[in-house]
Amino acid sequence: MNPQAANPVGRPPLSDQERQIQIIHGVMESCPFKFATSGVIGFGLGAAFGLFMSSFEYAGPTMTDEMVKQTTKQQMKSALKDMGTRSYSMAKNFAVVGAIYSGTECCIESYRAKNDLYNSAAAGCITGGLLAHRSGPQSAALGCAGFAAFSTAIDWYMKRD
Amino acid sequence: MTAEQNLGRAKIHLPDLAIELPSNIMWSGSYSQQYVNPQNLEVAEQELEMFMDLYNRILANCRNKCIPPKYHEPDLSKGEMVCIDRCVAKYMSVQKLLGKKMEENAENLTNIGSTGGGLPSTL
Repeated sequence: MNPQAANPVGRPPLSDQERQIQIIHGVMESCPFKFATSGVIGFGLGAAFGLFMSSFEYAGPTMTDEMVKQTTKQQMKSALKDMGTRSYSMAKNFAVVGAIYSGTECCIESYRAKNDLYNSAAAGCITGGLLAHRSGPQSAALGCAGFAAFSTAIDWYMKRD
Repeated sequence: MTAEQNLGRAKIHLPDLAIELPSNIMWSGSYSQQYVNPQNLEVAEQELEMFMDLYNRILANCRNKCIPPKYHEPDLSKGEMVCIDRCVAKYMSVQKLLGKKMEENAENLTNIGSTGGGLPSTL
């Protein structure tokens, strides 16, 4: 693969460009970068998902008296604003969940120096517990168990072969 | 391949080994006829063998400890990278420590050989 890694002795020192590439790879594999990247991607996915979910509100009859009186353009504007708010809140939620999960999994894996399913289980438990900690210890425990099971299942599915 | 050819081709970078080579050894790829002290050549050859042996041992041991043989992907994961860093650091520090201890007990060890028994005083 890398011709310079084949022989440890007799390898010339890295050029500037290669050192830069190494630094960039190191940053890309670091925990803060994974935390930020998951947050951003979660935000995007959450926005798309929120857009999708917000369309269900207008699937049934939702017209009120004052809404009928507004013009089409005003109705559309209020509908779009509602969709935007809903999808924004969903995007924030997804970003937080993704960032916390990814950050904790990276930290746990760095600490344990092993790569197996316990990392995703522990990270899922912490994420689930954090998300539900406001509504009491029982719901926090339930959230921990549920999210851990979910993330372990997904990781197992990705790694099976 | 003779030792001269080995040293001529490989540009060896041995930062931690205490090896002092005289300036008349050529590091470029040319096979010039300058005089090379054969004793220094032997020392350099031995150091090279030691280094390669150390490298191969570290490679085998850390690979056995850190990388389980179930391969899902060709890249090293974060946990495996951290494990290899720690493994190499520990190996080198253990080697240094043992080297120091061996030096300290060198006289005791040679005394054991000559007098035929008895424990060294520092163990």
